[in-house]
Amino acid sequence: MAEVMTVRAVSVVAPAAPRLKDVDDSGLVARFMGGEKRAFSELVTRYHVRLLNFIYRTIGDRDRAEDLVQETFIRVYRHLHRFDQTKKFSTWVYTIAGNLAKNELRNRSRNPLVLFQSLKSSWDADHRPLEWEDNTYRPDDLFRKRHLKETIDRAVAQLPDHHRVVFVLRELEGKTYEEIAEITGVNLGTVKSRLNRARNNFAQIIEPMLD
Amino acid sequence: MTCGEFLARHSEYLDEELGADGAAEMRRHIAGCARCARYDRVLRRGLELVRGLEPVLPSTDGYVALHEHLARTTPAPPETGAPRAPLAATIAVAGVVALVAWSALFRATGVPATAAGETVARGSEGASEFVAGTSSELMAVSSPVLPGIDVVSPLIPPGRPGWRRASATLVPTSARVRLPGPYTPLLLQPPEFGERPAAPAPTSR
Repeated sequence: MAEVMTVRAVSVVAPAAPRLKDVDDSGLVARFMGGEKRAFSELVTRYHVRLLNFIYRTIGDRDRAEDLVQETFIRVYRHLHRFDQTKKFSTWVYTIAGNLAKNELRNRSRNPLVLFQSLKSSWDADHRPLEWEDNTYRPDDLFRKRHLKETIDRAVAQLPDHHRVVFVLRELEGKTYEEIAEITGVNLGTVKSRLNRARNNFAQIIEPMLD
Repeated sequence: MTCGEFLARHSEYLDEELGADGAAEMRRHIAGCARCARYDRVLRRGLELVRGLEPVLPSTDGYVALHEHLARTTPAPPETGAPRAPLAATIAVAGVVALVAWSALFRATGVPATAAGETVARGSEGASEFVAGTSSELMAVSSPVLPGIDVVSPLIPPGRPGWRRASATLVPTSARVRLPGPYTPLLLQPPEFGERPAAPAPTSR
């Protein structure tokens, strides 16, 4: 009787590396440094929108913000080998972006020019194209909502530069006091004081709208 | 708690950075002060709206441009030297060590480091002689470190004249002599001393 032997093939398979989406920032940095170029694309995907919003809220110019985000990523790409991997990657990236935004504000204060955005805000009211009726909201709700958003945008933009950076990092980016201190290069007490003043200013600007 | 104190601590109160006691004190103040209660309410509502702002999205052009730029970018070569801060520290430490070593040398040769102008006046006591020598010859020779006078050091290239310690008087040779200090006008036109006196021959019994 022929015995049928089933041979179970045992294959030794190396554990698959986790997908890039499941890897944390420091893991992505390590994999990029190890030669996996796609890891950097994942970092770009993670930080593109966040950095764009941070820079846009800081300098108030959308197109310029896109340029500066691009510059940020290029600097990160070129100098990633200098990054101290014991530190937090996001803090490093925000520090670079924050420095670029600060330089932009400094250059702008030296060479003031009228931004299209500031013209556009007054242009919008009179030249807004006709819109079909939106049944989702009553017109007055829609108007109020838009007006409120513009007011909030304006209130943030009106904050002094060094207060606004701290305010945006805290309120829009959700950074801790310590991270803000590291990103902006000031001490913790200064961060708290600037944030308090920024919030105070902000409250005064929006107070007529909200109460 | 005054309204000023309330405002000063309000940010930390919002972020729940105050301890339980601090937060309770803030709540008590809000309960008793309509103005501060209004401030608290307005700010909370305003921040809520800020956090609810729709994010700005990157334009397609911007996104494509970024990736094109990255494709053309190459990582910067790693720095080969030591980091800057340690290098600066090393230089500073080396400078301090050199100063300490030289000051010790002065004490050994009897030339005060702070009285450079006196050196010439004490020439008869035996200090220095200007000679032409090579750096290898001068390696172990003391250096006067006088302002305005060439300093003997191992860094002097071969063949360049330098100062070295002589046993007796100051004997200028044909080399250029610069003033060590403002009070040595005699050295402007150095007199001819002639040949150095020969050392007395040892008397033999």
